[in-house]
Amino acid sequence: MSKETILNKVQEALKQNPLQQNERGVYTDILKPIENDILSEYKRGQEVNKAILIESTKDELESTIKSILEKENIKQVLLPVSLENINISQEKIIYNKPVDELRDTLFQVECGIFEANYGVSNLGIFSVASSSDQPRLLSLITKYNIVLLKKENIKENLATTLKAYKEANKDKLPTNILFIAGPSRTADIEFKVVLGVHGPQIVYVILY
Amino acid sequence: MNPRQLIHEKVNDKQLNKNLEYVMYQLQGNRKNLLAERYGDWEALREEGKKVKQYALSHLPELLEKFEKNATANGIKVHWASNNDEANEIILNIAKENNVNKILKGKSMASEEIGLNHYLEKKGIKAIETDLGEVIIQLIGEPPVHIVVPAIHKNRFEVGEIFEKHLHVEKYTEIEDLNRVARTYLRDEFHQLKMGLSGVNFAIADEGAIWLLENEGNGRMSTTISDIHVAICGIEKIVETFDNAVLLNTLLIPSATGQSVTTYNNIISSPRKDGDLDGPKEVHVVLLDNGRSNILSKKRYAGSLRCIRCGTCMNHCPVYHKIGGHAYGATYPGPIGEVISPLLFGIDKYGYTLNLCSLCGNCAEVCPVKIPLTDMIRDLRNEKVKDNKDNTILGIQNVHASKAEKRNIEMFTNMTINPKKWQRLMWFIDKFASLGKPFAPFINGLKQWTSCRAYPKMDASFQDKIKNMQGVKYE
Repeated sequence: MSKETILNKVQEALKQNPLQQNERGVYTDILKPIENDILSEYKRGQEVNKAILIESTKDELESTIKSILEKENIKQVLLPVSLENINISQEKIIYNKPVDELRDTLFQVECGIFEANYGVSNLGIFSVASSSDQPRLLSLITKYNIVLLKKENIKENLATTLKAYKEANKDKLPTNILFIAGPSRTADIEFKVVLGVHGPQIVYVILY
Repeated sequence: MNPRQLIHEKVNDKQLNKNLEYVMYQLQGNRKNLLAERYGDWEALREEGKKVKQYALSHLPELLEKFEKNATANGIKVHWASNNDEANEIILNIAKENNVNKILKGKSMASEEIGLNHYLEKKGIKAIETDLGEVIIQLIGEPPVHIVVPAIHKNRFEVGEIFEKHLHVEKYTEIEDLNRVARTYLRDEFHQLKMGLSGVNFAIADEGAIWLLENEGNGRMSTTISDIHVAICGIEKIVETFDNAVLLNTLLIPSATGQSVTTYNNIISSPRKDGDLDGPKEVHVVLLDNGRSNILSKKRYAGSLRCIRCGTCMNHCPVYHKIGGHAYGATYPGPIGEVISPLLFGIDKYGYTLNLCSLCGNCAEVCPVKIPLTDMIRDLRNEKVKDNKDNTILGIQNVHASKAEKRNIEMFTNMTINPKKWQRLMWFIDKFASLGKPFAPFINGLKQWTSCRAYPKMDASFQDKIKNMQGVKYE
């Protein structure tokens, strides 16, 4: 009932005040790049956003992950099913059950590792979409995140990245698309930035 | 406390002034430097942003229906609320149906607008804020002082005392420690969370999706780990496409905080689906009118619905700098608040906020979607006193210019359009104004002026100087 009431009121309002704006606003990426190519620009921006960026190769990916885990003295790792066979000595917790069955464990685990879908060059951020293999909490609930990102998946800006999502999913959207700049942060007290509020405090991005 | 007392108190609150001054200049500087260093044609993008919002408002009925259709197809439940009572009731019923007696909230100005926390509390449901700034002010029962940085009037020492008293922890003074206290307190709450609530930054009609912005991760927690997620969305938040949202996002973040991007951009298009291992099982979007359609019907004020709640008008307002958000006594403070508070909630209740403006024009100059705030404030002032009133403005029937004010303005007008009278007035002021000082506290007008300012030095010798100038024919 309220739907009709609201729509009627809105229609009536537009009769009284016909705005008649038929020209659509057009998005142009006006961020001026500092580097010469989108990969270098991404790397620069991602570091500005306070993620720790490490370049690696496909073959060295596992050893790069291992060295981070050792350096940070991490004992327990949360992994999506697609990475369950990764060869590490830390205790592996595989995110293969609904959150309701894993809730207590999820709140304890130190580090989540996952593959990002895309990087966004002009803002220096990465993006991950939810799926059965990539649960939403992997990028949120742990103190550390190790994010794997293929160099060829770096897009120019948010608009081109969202387009890529739609093309890859045949116009159907993933249930949740996230763009993440780095560690969670706040400046709510005295406008001073503090890292690590409710999301991860330390975020590594391994570019390969 | 009446508005005058409230404003007086805030003007004299030294700590508030100090905290605000520091942060407001930081916010201004960050924005200015970022735009100069990193952004190309910002002015052209503002124009495009204005078009995006004007287009969405022009086509609001179709876009609202399109949003509902696409969101519903995605599995989101869409509700419609004409006013705050309906919105509150919808949210209460969702909570009741799911046996929920506690909800956690991401930042939402719309929830402040409808008085949700208070309403739920009366019904036995606790609503807990999770944004750090909101946590601080909820503990002391205050409303936000700023729409982006809600507790910016409190410094670390004050926050330390608040946490010590209300969260029963040691008194910390380092910001990292205070952050840790809040994280630990809320981590326990998130662990138990069944129902989370959020606002909406952009609702995308073509996709049936909502887009949320934040830095802390509390919004993601509230909308991810809960079984039920409810988002409150003003009907003016609708845009047509993803590209539209990207454009507005590009305008919003630098304007708000002087960053290029928030830590999280959270685009939700559906609840947990077959195969997903987490995410809420139900997502509800409450489309809220609450007076917005009435604003849309007004030629002069419909543009205020373009607002994307960046808060930069507050950051650049010299009056806001001195008094802070609480002095406005309304959910939405600052220049945008002066326009929408009287229109949404009644010009009889919030008309006084229109005087908290020097018409300097800073706000309109920085507004990323080019809302002519100063013109709107001036026009609304005029609405309050003019004879031929616009009766569709809420509460206008109860607002009148006082007889004395009208008489004084008529007298003033009469003198300004009559050279002889004007000259006599100037002569009088020149000769006798300085003698009025002892009587100032008893003369209406001067009484209010001199209550907090020095008696003005009135020099009307200009007329005489002109008269004696060579080449001037003085009539």
